[in-house]
Amino acid sequence: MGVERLFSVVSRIKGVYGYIVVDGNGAFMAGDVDAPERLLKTISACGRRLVTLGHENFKYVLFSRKNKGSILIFPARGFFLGVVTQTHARDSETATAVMAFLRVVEGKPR
Amino acid sequence: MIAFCEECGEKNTLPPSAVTEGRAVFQCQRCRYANAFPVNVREAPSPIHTERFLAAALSCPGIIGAFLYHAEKKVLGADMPPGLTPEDINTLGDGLVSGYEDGLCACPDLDGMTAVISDKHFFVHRITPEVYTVMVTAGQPLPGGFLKQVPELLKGR
Repeated sequence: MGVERLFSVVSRIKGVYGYIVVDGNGAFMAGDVDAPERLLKTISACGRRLVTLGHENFKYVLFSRKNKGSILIFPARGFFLGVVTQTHARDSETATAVMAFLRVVEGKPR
Repeated sequence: MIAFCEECGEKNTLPPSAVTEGRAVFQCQRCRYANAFPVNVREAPSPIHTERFLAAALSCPGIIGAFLYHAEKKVLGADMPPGLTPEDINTLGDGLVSGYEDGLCACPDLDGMTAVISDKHFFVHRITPEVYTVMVTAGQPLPGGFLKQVPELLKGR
């Protein structure tokens, strides 16, 4: 299954405004939001940094913004999944739902 | 100090002379955009204020560790769970603060960062352009209202 089709489910998760999948170099792989280059770089750079810090224990990172949707970054099958949440979404619930989806994708028990 | 270009998000390192009358005035090293925006420059907290912050943080329900990190001086003070060496805490602070700065590149309006590693939540906030707080919980959110007290705690009021 292609990256685009695999991750398209993310956009249907409650609280998700849009998603972006990037590789370790910040190259766009899939997504449904217009992402400026610096967001792509942030997703890959911060993702790589926290994988280095937490190894396989790194679950996700959340950037909270003032009066805007947050940005979540998850390690995902060798890529990094960036999720933009809806304004006023419950970010922790959205993160839990995305992690559940990623566990299914990676064939890990829930 | 470190300032991010309002036009392209590039990280610029500024000399103290670039801040006058509370405004950072500089030309971006990448896109040459002429930036001029207000900054809130405060002196780094003294050790006694660091201790005050740590004591207040660790007295909050749910917070199991905390430290203050300076972009140049590294860890200013820490009260972290046993088993972590000062080198470990420096590495942690370096990685988390660098991650926060990655986020600032894309989101100049960044309000805070939460990194989830294993079952621990690391809450990172930028208090001044150089000073960051890191607070750790075992999965719980930060106690409501405590974050608003932090600047005053560091000032020692």
